[in-house]
Amino acid sequence: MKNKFEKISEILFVLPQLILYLLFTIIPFFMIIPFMLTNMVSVNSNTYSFIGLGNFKEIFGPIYLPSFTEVVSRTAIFTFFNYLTVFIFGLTLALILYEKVIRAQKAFTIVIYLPYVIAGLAAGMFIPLLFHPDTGSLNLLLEKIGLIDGPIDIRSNLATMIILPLLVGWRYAGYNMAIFLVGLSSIPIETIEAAKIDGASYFQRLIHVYLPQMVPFIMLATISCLIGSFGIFDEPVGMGGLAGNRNAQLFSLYLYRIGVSGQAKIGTFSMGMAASFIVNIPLVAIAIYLLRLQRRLQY
Amino acid sequence: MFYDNSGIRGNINKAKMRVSKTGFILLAVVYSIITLVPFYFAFVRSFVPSKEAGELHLWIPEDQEFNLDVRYGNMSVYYNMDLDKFKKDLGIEDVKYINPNLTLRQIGEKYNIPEQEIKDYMAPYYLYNGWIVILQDKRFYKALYTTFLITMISIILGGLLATATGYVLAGFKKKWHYGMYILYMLSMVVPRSLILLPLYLMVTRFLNLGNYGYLVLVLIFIQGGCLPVMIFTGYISKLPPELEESVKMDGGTRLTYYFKVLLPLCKPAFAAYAAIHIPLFWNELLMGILFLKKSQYTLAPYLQNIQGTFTTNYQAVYAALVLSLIPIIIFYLIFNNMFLKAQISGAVKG
Repeated sequence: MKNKFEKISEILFVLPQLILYLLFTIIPFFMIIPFMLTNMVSVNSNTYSFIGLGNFKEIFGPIYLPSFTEVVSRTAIFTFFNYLTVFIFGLTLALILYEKVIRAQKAFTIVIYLPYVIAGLAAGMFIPLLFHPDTGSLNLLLEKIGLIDGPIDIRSNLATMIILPLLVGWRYAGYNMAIFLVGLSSIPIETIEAAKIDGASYFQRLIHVYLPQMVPFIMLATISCLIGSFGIFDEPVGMGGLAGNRNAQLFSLYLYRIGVSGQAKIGTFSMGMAASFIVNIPLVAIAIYLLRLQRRLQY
Repeated sequence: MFYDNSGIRGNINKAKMRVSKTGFILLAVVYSIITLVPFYFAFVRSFVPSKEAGELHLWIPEDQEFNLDVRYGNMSVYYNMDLDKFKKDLGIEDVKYINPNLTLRQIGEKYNIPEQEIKDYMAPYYLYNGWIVILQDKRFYKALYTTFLITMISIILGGLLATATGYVLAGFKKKWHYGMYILYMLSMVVPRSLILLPLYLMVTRFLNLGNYGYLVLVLIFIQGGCLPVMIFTGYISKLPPELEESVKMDGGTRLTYYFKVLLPLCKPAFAAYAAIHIPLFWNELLMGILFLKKSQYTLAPYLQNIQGTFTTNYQAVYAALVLSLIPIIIFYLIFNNMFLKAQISGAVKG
């Protein structure tokens, strides 16, 4: 009987958090499949019926603006450039801290994480602050110095492809840097010393000694970047994504507008579910595959 | 040391090292400047009147005398002025309609208000317009207060829940322990955009919590996920099992152990959990605009609303931005030790 009491009390301890987790993460995850096969127009619709794969055909149709393909390709391009910034910012900063050439390591780390503690929305608002075609401070400054001829326009596709990834990379620099730092610390020093004795330049050391031994960590950063990039919301909103900047509408904003604004010209609720499914299921599959690969490589 | 820094080879090596060292230091300095630039400009721009936003301002502009040739109609656009209050303060509250094309100077003449009085009244609005608008906005204070409460409650409850989960799962003594751990780890690969719509459906239709915005927010925050469960399970598994046994031998239950021994012991894990999640909860935007009504907005949704409402009043938008950054930056500077330690060790476990 004591055993039974033990078991019940164990279950009671995990139950509260488990119930919440099931309700708000696991069950919604599985809810997508039944609902994407219906023609539910909005969240409040009471009449909807099974229409099979109809949504999947409609998504690619021409009626809706912005179109599904437009948003997804924009998000995919963003993800690519965002992935580059993981290394441009994260790896570079990790190397700077690892080589211990800075005396004020702590102060520098505080600066690095500063963009991470502020709201993503606030960070996103830095973009029009600096790059709005008429009033952007950095635009005006660069024009005055003579570095650029005309203002960089945040409403253009260029901005979404280049500036937004830079901003997001800057924001998550600390996060990625931490992963790479741990990776660097796990490299046996003998391999580095051996390379130094052989006269390898820093760049050669980096490519042939550091990076190959950091592969599990690179994979971890890759998975995080991949999963995060398709769900990014705050920063594009800061850029004006919900206020008319059409080029700032990445995938999450697209879903938000479908689901909550209920603007039928973008698509129905069930179409949003279908869109969610199409984009995210392959993503999750890739992520799980990479994760298992990474676990195997790490040990 | 392992390599020889004398001779020609040594000199080349030393030179190479110096170049990379200088290069790194330069990079670090440039990066630090780049990071601080947006904050600086946000601060400066919150003082720059919207009409002058098209010019470069590297510092707060000088205070200028308020130009009385501003049209009355522009007052609410550029200055978001409460026009009823304006009329009341200048003693013309009984005037129902003022032609928006009249300038302030003409209004002064028409209603016998001395020019100097209008100038004095409008004086602070040249530079401080945005700050005045936001600091007089009740919704700002409500957002601040609400965000603080929700964050605090969520951190405490979330910590309690995660400790309880970690307590049971630590050590994976039974098979289902490991299974449940993996279940929580799944949240690492679940993208937010996947959950967005079904979560909204679940909360508003099936759970019928559409009107309980604050409750929904807290519940979503405390549900846990890969990071809290990882932190506590890992930490508790390193505690000596004799502690629980000794409590049981003294006749205590699991509950006694949990409250009297485990919780006090888990302070470092809780610190790591709090350091990571306080900024996450404080800055949450999506859940806020999904489930809260405009009157209930927390800080980030409030800021987004300001951005949408005051599109032409840059001073107000950037004043709100700066004001919303202040609390979290203060928190960060005070607790940066805990925060940095949690971030770096949290990265590994992923």
